[in-house]
Amino acid sequence: MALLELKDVTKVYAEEGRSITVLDRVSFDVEEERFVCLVGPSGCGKSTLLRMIAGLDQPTSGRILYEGRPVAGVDPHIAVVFQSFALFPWLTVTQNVELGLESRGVDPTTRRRFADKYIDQVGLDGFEEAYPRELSGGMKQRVGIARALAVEPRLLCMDEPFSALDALTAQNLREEVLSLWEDPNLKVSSIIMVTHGIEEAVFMADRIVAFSARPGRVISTVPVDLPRPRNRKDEAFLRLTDQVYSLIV
Amino acid sequence: MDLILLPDVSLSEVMGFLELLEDAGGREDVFRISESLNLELDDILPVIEAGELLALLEAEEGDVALTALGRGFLDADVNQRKKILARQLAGIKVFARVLATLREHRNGRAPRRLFIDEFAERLPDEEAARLVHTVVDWGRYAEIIGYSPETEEVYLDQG
Repeated sequence: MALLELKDVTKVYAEEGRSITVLDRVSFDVEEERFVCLVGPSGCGKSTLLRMIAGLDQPTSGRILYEGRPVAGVDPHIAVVFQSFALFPWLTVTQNVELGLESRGVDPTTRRRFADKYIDQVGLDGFEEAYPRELSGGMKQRVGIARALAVEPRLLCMDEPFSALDALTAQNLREEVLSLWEDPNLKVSSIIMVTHGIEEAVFMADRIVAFSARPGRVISTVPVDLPRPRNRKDEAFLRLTDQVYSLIV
Repeated sequence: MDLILLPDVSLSEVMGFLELLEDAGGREDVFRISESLNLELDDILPVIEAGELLALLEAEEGDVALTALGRGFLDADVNQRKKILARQLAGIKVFARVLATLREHRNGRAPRRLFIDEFAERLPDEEAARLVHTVVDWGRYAEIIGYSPETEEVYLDQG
């Protein structure tokens, strides 16, 4: 059984008496231990889809199954990393990381233990008492990642997690996210990442799901069988990047 | 005090640059890297300067190359990287000065303002404040310096 199954997922928004179909009969599976990237033009509904997978929104029709069970609201095994970091400015790094655990009813001692563990894992040791205003964009996103990891999800959803960062910081975090995903001591099995960067998707994913412009439909799913660590200058890398571009453009 | 200004960049940027350099085989033309990232020279030069200051890379005649320490750094996990950075930072004059001042203070703590005022004897106020910000940012990552936003004190991070 796949970790996640999407079956004919459709999302329609009603606006000023009109119906706007954002996603149209989207179906694909995510197996265990996979890194899947969703790519497509802006407005194709890929972020909406990620929100529905995370239980933050619901499909108009179709089904989303996590381990065979319909996703109904926020699932304890699924966590999200947002593009805009979504940190509370009045809370310290530790308090921001503990937040997801607090909302799940975890006791304070266990919260602190988990927060410390994942703060260390993402290299934020030394910043525990810092407030978001003291942090660079890269460090803020590390807090976002630590907060998501602290609830020990099996499926991690990332919504354009590097797009608000400068090019070098983004590269650093891409490498770190891959290291975390490959770490056998972490509970995360699979990652679904929304990106508008095709090269980024080829760099990170095992499989790329390419979407059409609105309404978003799956144009193709492309396996990425390149060995890791990947080099953007390899001929096979460039060929695959070009292939995905040609699907979308 | 003979100050060495720190480039105003984050260590995440430096690490990202090292990783790109590794992808390029460990040596690359600066122009090619900046072109591939759509970065201006003004964006990339401070990052190279920081990498050189930390002895993780060397620049010569328009090329940049990873040093042996830089390669070791990239192979290390996050906690080993912090140890390497801690060692390198301790050898940089401005850090040595801050660490020495902290050791002279009770409990290894001193107001952030003290360092800004000290650096402002040699630098414009804005640059002095930026230098303290960078010292605290790098020092915190390497876990040699801590900072309390409540008391606005810098302190020795003794693990």
